[in-house]
Amino acid sequence: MPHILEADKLVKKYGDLAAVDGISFDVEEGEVFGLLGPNGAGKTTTISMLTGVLEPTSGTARIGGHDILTEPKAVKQINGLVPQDLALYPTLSARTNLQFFGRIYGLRGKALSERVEDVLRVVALTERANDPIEKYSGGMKRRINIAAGLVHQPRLLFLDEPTVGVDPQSRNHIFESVLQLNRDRGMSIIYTSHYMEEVELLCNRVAIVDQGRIIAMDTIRNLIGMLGGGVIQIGLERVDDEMLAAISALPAVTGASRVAPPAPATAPEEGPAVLAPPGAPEPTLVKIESKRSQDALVQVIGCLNERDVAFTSIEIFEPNLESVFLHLTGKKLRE
Amino acid sequence: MLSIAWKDLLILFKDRNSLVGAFLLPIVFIIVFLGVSGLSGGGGGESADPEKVPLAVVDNDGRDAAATLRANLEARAGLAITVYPEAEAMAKLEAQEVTHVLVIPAGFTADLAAGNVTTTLVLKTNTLDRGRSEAVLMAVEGVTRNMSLERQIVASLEALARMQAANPSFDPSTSAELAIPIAQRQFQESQGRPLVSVTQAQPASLGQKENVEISGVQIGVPGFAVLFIFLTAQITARSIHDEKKTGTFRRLLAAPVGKWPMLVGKLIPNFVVVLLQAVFLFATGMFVLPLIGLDSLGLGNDPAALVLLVLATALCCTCLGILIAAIARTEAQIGGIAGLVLWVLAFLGGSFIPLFLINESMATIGQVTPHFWAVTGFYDLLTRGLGMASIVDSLAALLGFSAVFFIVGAWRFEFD
Repeated sequence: MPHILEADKLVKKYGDLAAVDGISFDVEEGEVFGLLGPNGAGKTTTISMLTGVLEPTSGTARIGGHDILTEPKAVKQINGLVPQDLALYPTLSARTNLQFFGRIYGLRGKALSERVEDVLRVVALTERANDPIEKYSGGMKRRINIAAGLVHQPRLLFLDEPTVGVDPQSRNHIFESVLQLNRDRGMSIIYTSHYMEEVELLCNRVAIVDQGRIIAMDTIRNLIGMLGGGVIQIGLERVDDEMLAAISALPAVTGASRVAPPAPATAPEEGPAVLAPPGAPEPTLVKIESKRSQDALVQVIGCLNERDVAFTSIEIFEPNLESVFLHLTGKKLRE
Repeated sequence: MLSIAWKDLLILFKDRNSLVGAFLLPIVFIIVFLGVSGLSGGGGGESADPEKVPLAVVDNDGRDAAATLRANLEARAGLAITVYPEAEAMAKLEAQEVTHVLVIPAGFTADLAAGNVTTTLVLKTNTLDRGRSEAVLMAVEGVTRNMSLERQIVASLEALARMQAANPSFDPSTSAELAIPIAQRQFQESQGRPLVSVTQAQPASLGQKENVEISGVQIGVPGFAVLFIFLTAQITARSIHDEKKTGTFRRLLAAPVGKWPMLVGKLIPNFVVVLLQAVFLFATGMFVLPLIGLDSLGLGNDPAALVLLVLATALCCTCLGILIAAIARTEAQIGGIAGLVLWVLAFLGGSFIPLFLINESMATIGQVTPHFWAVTGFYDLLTRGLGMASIVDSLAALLGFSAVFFIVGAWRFEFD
């Protein structure tokens, strides 16, 4: 398959801070490609450079065969952008919003009307098209936000965290719309999210982004396959090298290492079996990679009992993109 | 570019607060200002009542006719006459302790007796209240016209008597037949060529205040129009700020629209709104204010110059908008600039009170504001009835400010 996008060492710096630090990746025509990473990883900055909103500090990209630096207008006709924000005019109706966004891409007259009606059908909001956006629910606004990026029939659609703050019903509708656009219209899609479930559901390939760099990029199956049987993260009152070696030597364990504890300000995420009594000393977090997480857990607890070491928390990450990210960075996606 | 402008106009006209601020608030200000300041013009109560108007008189003649004139002004015109020496009267006029001074020239009685055409009385005024000035002028003219008529008719009858005395065969029964046409002729002549005329002037020592003759409406409408026109500059800044805040600005940047066409598209609505504002405010001054007892706004004698001045003011305001958008990064900063800077500039620029009525130092300071040039231009056209030549400096200054605002604004503007 030909590439619709080829990003080559994109860098964006603000002073000494590199928000994006040499990102390179390709997207095939008709592919749904995921950019997965925590907030602040550089996903939105990358998209901003690819869509012409920001100028790269260095590096470039080709979209549809056109260079983003030397042929920005041609690139912008190919791109469709659905920003993370609800980038709409709230006092205007959905139809007027869509007509406006169609016009700035050069659509006029009958072609514009047809495109507006088409995208209203895609997001299933034809009946409410004349209502002001400000009267829409959050989910409906998200759907029109997507429609506004589709009205000029882009070949490559950038969806930047399109489900933030969306109710489950609208989220499902957005997923269906994305899959339908890709399947029925052959639209290439770059989908950014920090929700690994969405990326797993929608994307063929994924680039995991952290601190402005791509730290892994492959199909989801291959990425998960890196882990084998999953990851256990356990908080211990004390730990030393001898104990880490003992855990690593357990039959169901493939490796163990210390990780930094989460920042104090971070709100606790939902997760399994977290035991942390108030006033307890700051535990040391140990990441344990396993062949089979259930077996490994039993063996690790036995090992700790033998050494009379108490644990303060246990989290089991079954093999998925979340545990891949933890494996690669020592951090959870939503930290 | 036009799509962006049209979209912004749609948004603007759906925003009731902006519409009230741009169109209704100025009218309220004008009416309140005129009510509070008592500058309501010819339609007002006190100015139309000459009974309460004091008139200082400088009697350089000091003889019978001058005394008769003073007595008639008090008895027939109901003016409160006080006689001063000329120097004292001028000092009081300049200090605005008196607003009207009538100067009776030396030789007034002799000229009148000799039937010399024309003896000129000078009425000097120092007030913004055109209605009151007109009332005093009319009262003085009425009294002097009667004196002229009386003197001319008496002169004609004296001439008739002299004719009769010189002709012994004169038949007295024909006297009335001769006298009536003579009297009618003298009456017509007194209307066309009065023996006494009155000119209205300002003392030369009042400098720029000379020839000022303005009603409150002629001050209030242009002044407040300029104030609110420049307040409209925040429309562009707010619109751009809102677009950046909601993310639509990113969408515009991602579209195949150049940055400069996009920016111009954001400026056009400001320009259009200012034009609509000017038309609305001037039309209200002409047609609505008279309905509530105020003067009607006159649009002067040079409509082409007025259109040019409105366009230059709109351009300047629009360019100021991009400067504000470039400087003010937050909504609070935009509000601060609009709420403080633009009001102060308007005050310094003479939107509230024409600077030529205050003092020269204020006028000098005011020249650093675009408001000054716009207000001055509008006063020249609307109030003084001057033409294109009088506003060339205002147009040049407004275009200069426009260029500076646009260049600095565009230079400082951050698209990212």
